Formats: sequence, structure tokens, C-alpha cells
Amino acid sequence: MMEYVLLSFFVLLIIVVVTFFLTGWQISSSRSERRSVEYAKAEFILRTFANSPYINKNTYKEGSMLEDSKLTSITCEELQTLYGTGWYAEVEALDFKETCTYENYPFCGNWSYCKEEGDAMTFDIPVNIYRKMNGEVDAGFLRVGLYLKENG
Amino acid sequence: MLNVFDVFKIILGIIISIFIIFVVMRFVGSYMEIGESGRQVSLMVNFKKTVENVYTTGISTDFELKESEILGYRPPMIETEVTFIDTSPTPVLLLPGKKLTVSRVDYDIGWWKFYMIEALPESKIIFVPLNANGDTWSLVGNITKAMPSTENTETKIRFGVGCNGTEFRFGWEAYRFVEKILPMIISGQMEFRACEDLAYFRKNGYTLVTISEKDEDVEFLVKPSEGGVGHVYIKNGDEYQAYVYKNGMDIVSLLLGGQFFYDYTNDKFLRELDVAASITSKEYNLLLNDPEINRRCGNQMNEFVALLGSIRETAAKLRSSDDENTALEFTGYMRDSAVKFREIESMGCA
Repeated sequence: MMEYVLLSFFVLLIIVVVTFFLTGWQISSSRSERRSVEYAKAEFILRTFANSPYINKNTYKEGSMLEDSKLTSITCEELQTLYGTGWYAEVEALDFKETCTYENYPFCGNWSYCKEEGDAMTFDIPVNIYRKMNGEVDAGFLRVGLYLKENG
Repeated sequence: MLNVFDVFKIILGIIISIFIIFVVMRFVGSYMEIGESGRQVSLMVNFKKTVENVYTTGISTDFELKESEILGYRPPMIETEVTFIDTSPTPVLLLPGKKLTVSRVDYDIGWWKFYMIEALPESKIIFVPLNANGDTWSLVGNITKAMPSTENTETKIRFGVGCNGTEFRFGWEAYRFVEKILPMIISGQMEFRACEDLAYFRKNGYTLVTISEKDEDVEFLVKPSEGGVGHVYIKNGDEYQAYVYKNGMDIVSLLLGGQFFYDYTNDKFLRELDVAASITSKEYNLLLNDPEINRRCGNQMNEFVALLGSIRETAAKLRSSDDENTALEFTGYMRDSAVKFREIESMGCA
């Protein structure tokens, strides 16, 4: 009798172990799926920014030619109306580090939108910054971060 | 001969076997269900990625679905058997189908561009212009431009014009239809009559868009008034539902998805326009601080900023009611702002 009980016990144990393994595997693939969705969202925000007609030079169709007067005029709230919440963006010119305001424009080269404390998935790309007042183009970079809702 | 203990072992064995088989079957069943749900979720996630790629690059593409995977689309939510996918912040008009063309259409007014994604199955649109004049043909062009040009995708949206009894001319994609065919039709001064044998068109999947300044007994009627504004009448049983349109996108939204799409497109369009006008006003005020720009283009730029203010006011009114007079006022301001922007641009200040 004992051998039957032991056999049944082992079979049940194997079923439980397999169940836990497959469930764990499912959970980890869901996590990785969520991570890839977050990655895609961050990438989308970055590409949207780089090509957005709201901050790009009007006549420049290829994108990534951000215009300093538009960057200075746009606010976080306006960008959130267009692209939702949960992200931040920064544009930095290589030769000017001062944050742009109405008062110091055009002698500035840093714009920051919706930045707050918290872990974020961040992407950088190089961009051109068109200086409206003198028609010159500066090199800079665009950094976009997507705030992670929770670690995991 | 079996004794009582052997019978007990057999019964116990059967019970345990049934239990094990039951547990395994249930688990396999749930696992397959999870797998199928996961497959549908990843398909929808891929669809969303495709939509976002097209939105940012403007490059059209095809996307294949099984029809059953999308139960419905009430913007911005795509409903499937297992989940809802939110297409926000990208504005999307989607009609379920097995093979879709995903394209970006834009509304370009010079100082602002509004992008919208249209994901549509193969479609056949026939315009029926009755007593057509220049405005009618311009409206046909605007409606066509608000639909995808499918030269680079396998799924096609084709356009045509009719009817002359049961005859009609059909088979061109948006770009060719607007650029080559329409000018030929206009210069030929062709006249058309309402299509007969509607069952034929319905059976073969044609959508008829009748344009007339008079009332007509048709399923979808566009009735232009003035200044690019007019009404769309959609037949619902014996009654007609009327909507005010102010651009081609309004008409296309109504054609593709009735009131839901119309309300959604308008909300997105007017909300983004409000933001664009606010940003552009602030930008121009910033530029006016420069004495040189102020001296050269100050008057024009101030007039432009005033127009943007009027656009924001009328857009706010339009968001609460689709009154024809407000729409007329709105399109007037939009046209004036485009003209003023071109003037400022030509002076080198934009």
C-alpha cells in the first residue's frame, strides 16, 4: 500500500512543480512584455519629439531640427495635452548651458519639460537646434525619459 | 480471485488517476487560454507600435489581422476578446478588417499640421457630384486628401466618380485621382446623375458619397453651404441625421464611423489646434521682443497673433456646439491665418 501512496505523492509533487514552473515562466514573460511595452512607449515619445511639428522648424521636413523659439514658448502642460503624462524631456545645446526663459532668450541653450524625481527609462539622441535670431544651427541632444510606475 | 484490499487499491487508483487527469486538463486548458490571450495582446501591442511608427515617420504600411480579433473600435479604445488597447495619444480612425492599410493623413495650414492615422481595409469610394461647380470639385479633392493614398501598400483605397445611369468611372488611388483624374473630369465639364441600381453598389462594396446643394434621398449626402462649411446627412432608417462639417476630415470621419468618429476627430483636432495656437502666439510674442523683427514684420505678426486668439475662441465654442455660423467664422479665421502666415514667411520673419 505504502508504495502506491508514495507514487501518488511523487506524481502530485511533479504536477505542482511543473505548475509553479510554468506559472513563474508566464509571470516573467508578462514582465518582459511589460518592459518591452514601456521601452516602445519611451521610444515613441522620443521619435514624436524629434519629429513633432510643434517644436521642429516649419520648413524642415526631415525632423530633428528643433527651433529655439518654439522650445522656449512651449510648456510642460501643453506637451502633456498632446502626448499624455509620465515622461520628461530635455534639450541641451552643446555650447550654451543656461536654461532658456523669455528674459534670457536667445542667449541660452537648455530646455527642460515635466522633469520630476523618480526612476525613468531614458533615451538620448543628437539633434540640431535652429537659432531663429541668427539663422545658425547648433548641435545638441534630446533626452526623453519615461517614468517607471514600479520596479520589477 | 481479487480480495477486498485489491478492489480497494483499484478504486483508489482510479480516483487518483481521475483527479490527476482533471488537474492536468484544467491546467493545460487555462494555459492554452493564457497563451491565446497573450498572442492577442501581443498582436494588439504590435498594431499600436505600427500605428505609432506610421504617425512619426509618415511611411504607410500594411497590417494583417484576423477579423475576429477586433470586436470593435470606439476611439481611442480598441476592443478585443481579452483586452482593451488605448491608442492614445495618437489620433486613429480604425475600421476592422483582415488586411489594413495604415497611413498618416495630414491637415496642413502652414503654421500648423494635424496628423491623423487611418487604418482601413480595402475600400471603394465613388463620388456622385450633382450639379457640380468649382466648389464641389474642390470639396471632392479635400475629402480624397483626407483619406490614405495607398500607392505603397498592398491594401488599396480606390476612388471613382459617377454616375451616368448605372455607369461610373472608378479605380484610382488618392494621389492619382486628385492630381490627374479630377482635373480631366473638371475640364471635360462632365455631368453626373444619381446612381441607379444601388443594390449592385452595396453588393460589390462600393461606398457612395453624394454631393449636392439640394436635398437628395441618398444614404450619405454632403451638402455644401459656403466658405468650406456645410452639412453631412446620414440616412438612418427613414430619418436623416445632420452634422456640420468644416473640413474634409470631418466628412471622412462621418463616412468611416458616424458620430463616434466625428466627435473623436473634432475633439482631437480642436484640442491640438488650441495648443498649437497658444504655442505659436507665445513664440511670435517672443520674437517681437527683437527690435529688428518688430520693425520689419511687427504689424503682420501682431495681426497674426490676433487671428490665433480668434481661432482659439471659436475653437472653444465649436467644442461645445457644432453651430454652422461658428464653423463658418472658424474656417474664415483659419484661412486668414494661413494667408497671414505666408505673408510673414515671405518677409523672412516666420
